[in-house]
Amino acid sequence: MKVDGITIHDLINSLDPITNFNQITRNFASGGRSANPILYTHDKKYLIKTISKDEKTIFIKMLPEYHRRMVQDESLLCRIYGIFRIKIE
Amino acid sequence: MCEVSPDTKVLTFDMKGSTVDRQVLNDKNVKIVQSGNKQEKERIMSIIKKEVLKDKDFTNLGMKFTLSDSDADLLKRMVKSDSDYLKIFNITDYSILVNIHKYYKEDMENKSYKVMASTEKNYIFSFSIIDFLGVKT
Repeated sequence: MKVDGITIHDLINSLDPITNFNQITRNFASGGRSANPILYTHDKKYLIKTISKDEKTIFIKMLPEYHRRMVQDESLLCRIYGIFRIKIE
Repeated sequence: MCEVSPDTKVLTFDMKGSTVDRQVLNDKNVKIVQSGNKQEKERIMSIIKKEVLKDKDFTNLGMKFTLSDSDADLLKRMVKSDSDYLKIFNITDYSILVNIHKYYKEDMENKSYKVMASTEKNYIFSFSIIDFLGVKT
């Protein structure tokens, strides 16, 4: 399936943690901003940022209408392609 | 978000349509960009290129969106339509992110409706609404 010409494989390639190693470590090395890091993927195609639990809740609530809007309407809203939760064991 | 190559980007503005707390550039640097010599201007520009500027900086730098009538109408329609949509979820504190790029013809081929060339064809404006999930951490 393609969304905006992007397949899940494209996304996985861009988000791969090994290829993004420099992006991830550079962000935490600079200190001070590590509370809410924002980083570009290595290919500069996507931006990754952290959101709060409340923001996640709002997005899930608006998701059906947001998706419809992205597919059908002309909109300036930026494309959110995925939300991930990372757990470290 | 960056539908045009980030390498041609000149400036970035995060705009909320307010002036309270919406200035990043200090007054000294603004003066240099407005009336400094070429060398000083270039030095300041290379610094501010990496920053995300805000509403008051846009005005202080004397910037304008020089768009065709049809592009300007489309932009206004989409902003209205998106803000009506976000109002349904009680969200009003979003920003319009504007990236200004140097104009390259190739970037205007197969472009999306969110990417607009200036009327003099020297710049490309790319628009996007961000931070629209309502809650500020």
